[in-house]
Amino acid sequence: MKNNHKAVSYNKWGYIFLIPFVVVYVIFQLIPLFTTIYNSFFENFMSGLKQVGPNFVGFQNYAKLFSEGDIWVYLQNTMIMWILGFVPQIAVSLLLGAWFSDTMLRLRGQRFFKTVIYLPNLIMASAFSMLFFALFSDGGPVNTILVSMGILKAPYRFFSHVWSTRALVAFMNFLMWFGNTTILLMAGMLGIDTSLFESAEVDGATSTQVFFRITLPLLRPILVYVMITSLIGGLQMFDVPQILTNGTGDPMRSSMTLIMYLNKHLFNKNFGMAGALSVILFIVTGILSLIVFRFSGNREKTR
Amino acid sequence: MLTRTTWMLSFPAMKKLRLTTDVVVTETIADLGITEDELANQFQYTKDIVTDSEGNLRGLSWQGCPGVLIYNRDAALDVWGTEDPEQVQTMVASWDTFNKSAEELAAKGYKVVSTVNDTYRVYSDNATTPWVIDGKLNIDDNIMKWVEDSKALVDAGYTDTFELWSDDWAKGFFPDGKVFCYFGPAWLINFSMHADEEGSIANLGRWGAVEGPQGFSWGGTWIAAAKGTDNKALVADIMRKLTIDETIMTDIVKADNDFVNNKPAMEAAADDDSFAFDVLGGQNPIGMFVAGADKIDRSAMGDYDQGCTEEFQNAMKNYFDGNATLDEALDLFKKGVSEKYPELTVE
Amino acid sequence: MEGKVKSKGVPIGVRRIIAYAVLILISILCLFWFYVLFVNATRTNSQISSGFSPVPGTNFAANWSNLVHGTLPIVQGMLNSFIIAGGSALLCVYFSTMTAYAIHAYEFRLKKFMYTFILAVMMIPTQVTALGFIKLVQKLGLENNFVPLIVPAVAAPVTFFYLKQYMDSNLPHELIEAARIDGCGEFRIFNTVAFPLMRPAIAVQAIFTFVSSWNNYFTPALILHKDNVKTLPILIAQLRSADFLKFDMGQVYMMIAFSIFPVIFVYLILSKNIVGGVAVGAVKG
Repeated sequence: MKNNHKAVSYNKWGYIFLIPFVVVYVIFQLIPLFTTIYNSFFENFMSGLKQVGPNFVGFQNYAKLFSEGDIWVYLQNTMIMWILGFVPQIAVSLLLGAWFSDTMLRLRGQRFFKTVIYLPNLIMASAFSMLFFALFSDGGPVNTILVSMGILKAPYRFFSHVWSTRALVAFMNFLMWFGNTTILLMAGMLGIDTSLFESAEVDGATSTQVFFRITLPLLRPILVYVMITSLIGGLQMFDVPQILTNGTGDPMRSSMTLIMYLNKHLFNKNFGMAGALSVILFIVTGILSLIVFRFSGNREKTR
Repeated sequence: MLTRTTWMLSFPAMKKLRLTTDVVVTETIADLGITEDELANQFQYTKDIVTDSEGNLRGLSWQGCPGVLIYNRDAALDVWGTEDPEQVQTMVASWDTFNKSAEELAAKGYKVVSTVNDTYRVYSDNATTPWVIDGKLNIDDNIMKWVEDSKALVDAGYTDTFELWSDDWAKGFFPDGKVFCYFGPAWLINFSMHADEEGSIANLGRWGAVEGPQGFSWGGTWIAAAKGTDNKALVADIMRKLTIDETIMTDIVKADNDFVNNKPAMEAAADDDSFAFDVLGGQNPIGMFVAGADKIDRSAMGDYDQGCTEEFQNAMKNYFDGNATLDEALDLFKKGVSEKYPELTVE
Repeated sequence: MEGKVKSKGVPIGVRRIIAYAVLILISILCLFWFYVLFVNATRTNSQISSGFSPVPGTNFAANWSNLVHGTLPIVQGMLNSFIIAGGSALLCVYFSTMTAYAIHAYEFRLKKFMYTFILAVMMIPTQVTALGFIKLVQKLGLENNFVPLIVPAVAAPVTFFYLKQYMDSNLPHELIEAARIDGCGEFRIFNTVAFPLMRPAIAVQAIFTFVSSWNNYFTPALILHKDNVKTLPILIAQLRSADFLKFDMGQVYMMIAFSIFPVIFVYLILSKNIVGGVAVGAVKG
């Protein structure tokens, strides 16, 4: 920097250029956050056209969430559907990433495949879900094909069974995200020093051994990063199960996620319960974010 | 100014209107200068629905929506050798005979109804107690009867658990769907059964109508005057023309195969063959509608109907599909109601 | 040690075949649904009811016409979605660049704090403040208004981060100094020197922000209640729950197609940039 006098007079521009971000953030994120926390301590809902509350009730909303609110059930549902989608996602992404970054394999048409696998990431989740709802209905194309091929004797009621509904949600999540993960992991793999691979080859290692003994361990930081960010995303699961089950999470609410539950309260204008649930979600994602943040910070240092 | 609710929305529209009448956004009919006497030819239930809590009538309808059982003529021929309405009615005159017939129909590969939700409205319209009594949730016996009967039908494979209006539900409108009957009013017959599509049963005119086990109603359109309107005279005139004038209302029936809110006109039409419905193979169902409309009793209607119905049908689907016991499904229903209406007592 | 016959494992040729087979299978898994969507959007309701067909029908125009003249305000919905997404994309990239520039080009006391703060809140989902958002919008009287859906795009930590990374390797301080010597004001330097330089990164981020906003269901649904302001995702949810609209499956498929294919179309044109952008972000992140 130039002499102090000049540097200071320019540096105030740093503050000036930050103003838009700060102002908008305060208005649309910070203030709503405080409002949400504030509301969580009040009983506040609509009874027909009349409003009950707001009456201060302390932690009653929180207590209700855990005792009557089945919050554990919805957390479980969310986690199950996340894991069901994430495990194939990571496995397939690792496989594809390894293939794409393998210079010896020299796969052709990589650009085509990458374009195709990333495509679902950009699809409107609600439209995608509506599509699957139509396709997998009792008389829909999927059943028609399976029956005509003789794989099924009668149409399978995908939406009348707990695990098939959950599997469809997980499958859609997988489709929408595995392309993104593949590209991420591929970039990570490309960043690995090729001399490691060369010396391993000289030692006579098979590609499988190379993958499990060299690539994977070196990828561990990225894998952890991907897992936690995916988890944070998973906790926000909403569009797909909401549209698929029309907000019911049926059968028996087995596909109802935390955000669907939040949406229900917001829709019913039960702001007390919605507030409490939001605060809990905030705390959980806040902790997870901190972990990612710390983690990325460490990665920065080791570079 | 006139406000109009779309005629296909049933509970949502009616609920909205009742709420708005209570919150007074409409003029009373009396204030518009239309007298009780002028409305004498209308069916009582159309007036009951839009009467506010103080007894003031706030809207008028030109439509009557009594429902009938609409049966697949070819299915009846196949199973019982007759498609004559009188004969068919004996097969479905009560829920007991209806359920028995389901067995006979199944033997020939037909589902008695497309989904359990087809019959729901018939049971619920004949409920004598409302969903909420003194702030407490209540389930009428007739509705529990629907659950019982439906579970038996589903378990035996005589029907399915589709959502109304879904693609699967609509398959029965075509011969391949192999569904015996639907329940619905005039507008279902001429609007919802895919009459314009080649190959549908409606297009071939192969439906028939009978009263079925119980009467019911579904939907309707009401017109009301916005409060504070400057056009009271104009509004009143429009209302008179649409909901009282016999000539105009009869024309509506001729043109749209609709059923209008004018008893004498409809009684006359019942005997007049020019009012026959093509979809019903030339049958004139108006007499049945008249009989049905008189019997409709909507006094048990309440503000919580739509929400409770929705939660109830969703919850019961789990029981029908075998994903929950009856108690678990009822618990789910109660939970849904208490989330929607936290002010109610639910035990 | 593995009990493999060859010391080098499976031969390259076989591995390549396996890879291609798997990739083709996965590609089918990704694309099949959209193929069926396309086919069914061109057929009539009775054709769809009668079963699956790999051959498209001829009812495209009719389905489209019915949809547009039907009960759902679909064209208006697309317009609404477009306005909100476009506005968000524009505001987001411009002001995220500005924020990144602030951190990149200047030294000031709160710089480290701000940077850390933005990174820290980057991953917190906006849904947790949904309740407060609703209340704020009501208080400002902005229900059924697009403003609360566009303006918040100004504060986008993820975009900021991506652009900051890009700036680190593409916007040398010397350039800024040089412009200052030339007598440029700070604001002008940002607009005429820094911003244009960021074009590739901005293009990628604009696309991502646009798509993300276009697809967003939860947030707009909180405040858009009148039919003429609803966005496409909200209309789709309405389609799912409303009875009489699922009448004509040709229309339903057409509506879904209408929400999905424009994005696919634009994506295919820009795919190199988009996929490339993700990869760059991956390396930097």
